[in-house]
Amino acid sequence: MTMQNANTPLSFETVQEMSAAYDAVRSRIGLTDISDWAKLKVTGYDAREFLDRVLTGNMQQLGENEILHTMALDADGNFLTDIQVLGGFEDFILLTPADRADALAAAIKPDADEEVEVVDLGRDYCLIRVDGPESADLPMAILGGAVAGMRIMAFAEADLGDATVTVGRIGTTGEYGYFFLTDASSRDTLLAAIRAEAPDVVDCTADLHRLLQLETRGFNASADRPGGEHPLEAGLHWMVDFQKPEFVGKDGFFARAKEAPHHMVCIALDETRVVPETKTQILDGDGNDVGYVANAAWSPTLETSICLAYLKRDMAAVGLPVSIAGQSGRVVSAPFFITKSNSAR
Amino acid sequence: MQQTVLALVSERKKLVSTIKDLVIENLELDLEPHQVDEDCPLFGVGLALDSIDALQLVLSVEREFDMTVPTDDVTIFRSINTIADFIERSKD
Repeated sequence: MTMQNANTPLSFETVQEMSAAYDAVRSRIGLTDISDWAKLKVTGYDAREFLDRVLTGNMQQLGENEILHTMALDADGNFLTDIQVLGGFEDFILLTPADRADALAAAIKPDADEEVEVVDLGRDYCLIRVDGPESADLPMAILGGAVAGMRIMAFAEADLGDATVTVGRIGTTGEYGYFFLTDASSRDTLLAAIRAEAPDVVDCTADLHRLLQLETRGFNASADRPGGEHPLEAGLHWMVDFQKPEFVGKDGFFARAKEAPHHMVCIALDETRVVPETKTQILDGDGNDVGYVANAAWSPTLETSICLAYLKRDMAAVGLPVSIAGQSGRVVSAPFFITKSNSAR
Repeated sequence: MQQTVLALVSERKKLVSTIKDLVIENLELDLEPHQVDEDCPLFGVGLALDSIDALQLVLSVEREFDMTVPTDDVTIFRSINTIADFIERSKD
């Protein structure tokens, strides 16, 4: 069950191989070890001000025990990586997928006169995520009332034996999804506790998450910007505080946004198992070129192929009929899948 | 064909624009319409609106479009686009 690379569409055969894990996440619970993610701890008197300077989101409004999904740019305003920031008083944890570790390290470099310490938690910490409807009760079952009733984009700490575990609710694959962060020496204890409470939990891989996130239109930096498209073409407005006076790369970022010709949309094809490849041309009803495919897969829940695509801005609207490699489809509203009602669009 | 499609696109964009204005004005968001993506989640991740905002939003849509919004369908207020879908369905 390996993907050739992040831009290779999931084939039907691959989805078949993944079906047990997919079914588990969509109807019960799946577990994924994402310990290879980059994990930085940023502390110090100037930590909040520093992160506010280098990230596009508003760190001043990030409360303790809240999670902010935002991004970092280079000095010219080019996208570096998206980041989950766990907020504290003067201490913050930054998480980003493994393939963006170098980008995260490049972004999180305080100046010499800033009172900020950056510690790479790297291999010293493990990161386990559980996704699916039955994950909702898991944090409280293994960690107790301190983590009860957790809102989405919030986190808490609790003890598990001798270990301290940080548990957060992110839900990037659906309504219910949690991560557990603890020191690597407590990994086996954590996994044992999870499996004791959820004996039917199915092991998943990071590959599967690409499909799950596509269905919920969660952002996947590796797959959703095949041509390095502008983050605002990709609809990531919500990661940016437009009112912030300054952040690294701001001028270049907004200057390029004005010139960006495309807008990301969701397209559902009409009952096909043919998965269009990345960059496949998209035509309108008259055969005019209106855009291209970014990230596509066959959706077991919808029983058809779905894709994120970049359409010319003036044509990007729900309801637009399109043709992709001879297959008909239309632009639909995000997401393709909503966990809470367990229904597909 | 092309004229029909262009009309469809134009009508949808107009509806989306109206809903964006409605959301921003009624919830007093410090945003311009072009700073809100129409597929952006309104609650949780995304604009991070809360339950009070939700109630205000329901009342605003009912008033603006002269319709009744069911309160048991969690999918309607997922995004600007899903609100537009609901309004279009209600017109049919």
